[in-house]
Amino acid sequence: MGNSADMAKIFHSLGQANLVQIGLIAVFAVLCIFLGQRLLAWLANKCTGRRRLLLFNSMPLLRLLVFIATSVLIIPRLIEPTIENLVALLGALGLALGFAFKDYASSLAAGFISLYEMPYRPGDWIEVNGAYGEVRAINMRTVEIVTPDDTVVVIPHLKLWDQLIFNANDGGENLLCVADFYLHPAHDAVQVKHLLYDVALTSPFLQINQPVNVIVLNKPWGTHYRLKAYPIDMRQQFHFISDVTMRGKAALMGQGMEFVTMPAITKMD
Amino acid sequence: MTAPSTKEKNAAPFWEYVRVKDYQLPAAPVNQVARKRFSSLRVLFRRETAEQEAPLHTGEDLKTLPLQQLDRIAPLPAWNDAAASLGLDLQGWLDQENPGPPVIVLLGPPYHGHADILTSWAEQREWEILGAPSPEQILSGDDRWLSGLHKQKDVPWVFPALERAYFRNSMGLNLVRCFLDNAFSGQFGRGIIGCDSWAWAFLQYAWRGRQPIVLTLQSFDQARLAAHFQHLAAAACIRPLRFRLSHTGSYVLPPPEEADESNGISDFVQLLAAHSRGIAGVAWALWRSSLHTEPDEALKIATDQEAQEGSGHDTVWVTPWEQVQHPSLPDGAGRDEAFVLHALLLHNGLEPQLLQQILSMSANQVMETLFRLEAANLVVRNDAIWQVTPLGYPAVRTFLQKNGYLIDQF
Repeated sequence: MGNSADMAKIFHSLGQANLVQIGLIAVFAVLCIFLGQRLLAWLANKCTGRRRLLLFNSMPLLRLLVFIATSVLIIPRLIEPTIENLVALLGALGLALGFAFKDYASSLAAGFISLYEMPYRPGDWIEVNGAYGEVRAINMRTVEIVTPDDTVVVIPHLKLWDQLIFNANDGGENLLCVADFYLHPAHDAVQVKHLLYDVALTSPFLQINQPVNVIVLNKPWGTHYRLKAYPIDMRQQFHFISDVTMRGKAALMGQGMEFVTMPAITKMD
Repeated sequence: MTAPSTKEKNAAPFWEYVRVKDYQLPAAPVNQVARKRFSSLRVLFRRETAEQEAPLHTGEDLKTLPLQQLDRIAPLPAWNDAAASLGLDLQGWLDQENPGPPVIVLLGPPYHGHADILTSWAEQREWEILGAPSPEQILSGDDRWLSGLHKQKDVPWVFPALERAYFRNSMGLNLVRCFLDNAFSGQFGRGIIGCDSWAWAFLQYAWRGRQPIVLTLQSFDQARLAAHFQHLAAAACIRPLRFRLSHTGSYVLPPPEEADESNGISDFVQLLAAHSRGIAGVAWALWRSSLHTEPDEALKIATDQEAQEGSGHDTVWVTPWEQVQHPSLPDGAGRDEAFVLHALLLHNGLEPQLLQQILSMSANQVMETLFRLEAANLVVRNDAIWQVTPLGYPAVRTFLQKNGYLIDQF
């Protein structure tokens, strides 16, 4: 009982004026975040390259700034902002959240960490738990990605704690794409390597300032070529892979190369 | 080699050859730069469905000059003068019996005349002109073209358009690589290769050889453009011409000494030089599109007496810079437009069938895109070959640069 009385003392007596003010501040903050994010997303989609990523990246920052400003405005209206009062309030809140909304609070905390560590930013291409797509929005509790099949996947930030997060471009504007070719082992590997290099070089999707590499791997069933290159626009990564695959197939067939149709199945004793 | 003639010496002010790194882009007036930035910001906030800007009228009291008069006042740039001037800049190299680099590259952005200059140069100096391989030879890597090239090593040669020797296709690079290897190793003897700047930018990635000496025609800045246009008009055998802005009356080119200078001189030519990036052909096309005359006024050919007395003059009215129509990319221009425009620039023009092959696009898709771009005055068909128009070139270059495509150095 004594504790509840102490806790009650922490709070100001909430008059009607205070409640209205707090309500208005909260509504204004939500509006700022909503409109700001809409505006930034709209502008970002009208731009390309670095400018697009910069605009996307500023969305979580905008939300954080609005959140801090809102807290600074609301807290003094709720409590006497002394150190003791803040510690007591946060302690009580932590205890309540720890029991009732453990995962929710964990996601919120991870959301804050994600703003600082930036394991993903809007516009990044990430993979979490097998879901691959472009980060569309980073909310307080979740990150939203859009898969290549135009499906939105909502992932709680708490995955940050114990899951592997694969980020294909890590805030940059270059994203490596790989096209695979499987050939019968009897062929001139140097010729194929040069041919595949030219296939990538002549693709209109290619970001030519970035390196093109051809990796050759010998397998029991044949030779595996991995053609690695960067597209001009990350959003065209699948078109790019399709383009180099089609060109590569045509060029290899034109040179009389034979593809492996099915890997050999080896029986293990 | 022959000593430079008087003609060559006179031609020097317009035509100057420099190393590529010394090419200077003409600067725009500061207020124009600010206006351009503001306008690009405005474009960002423009609604997608907004209609294209209405065509600006050039004034109902003025009419476009008849083609014949236009050809007299602003004829095609005289590339033979440019070729003559090349001799002055290459004199040291020409004087060497065994030149250090056997081959020099003359680079130029589209419409800067590199192929015409070299063809003219070869005719003036009786150098052999090497013909380009056919598209079939390029795509099949037929080295008979290469083995048939330049049998007489003691005769110097020019290859005016290297961009006609390759395609951006996995089968279209081998021939040009072999040609460049042979040429720069001195196998063909002394020669000059002309190349479009866009093709050269791409070939820098496709061919890894020793970097040759690369020259280019210096940009046409304000002073050079004004002198060039005056030179063209003066050579037209027309009564002296005064070029004045239609809305203020201020002079566009420096007026003759006896003229009333109270109207001042406009910054039209400076804007023109900056917008055209100093490219002679682009500036020339814009200049022609901005010339007008009054409906009842015909530009007269000077009689002998008038020419001697220097009496009388005609006025050509120039559209204000803000009202000159610059083609722009159609709303919603995206990947297809970028691919087609980029391919056209990399090859300095292509036939639709080759575009189809290079871009892996369907025939319908290619033609639809070409017609859309043609309607926006960005591409034009010359015989069977489609090219980016000189008027549309600045907009196309900016569009490709903004979208991250490989661009040239100019």
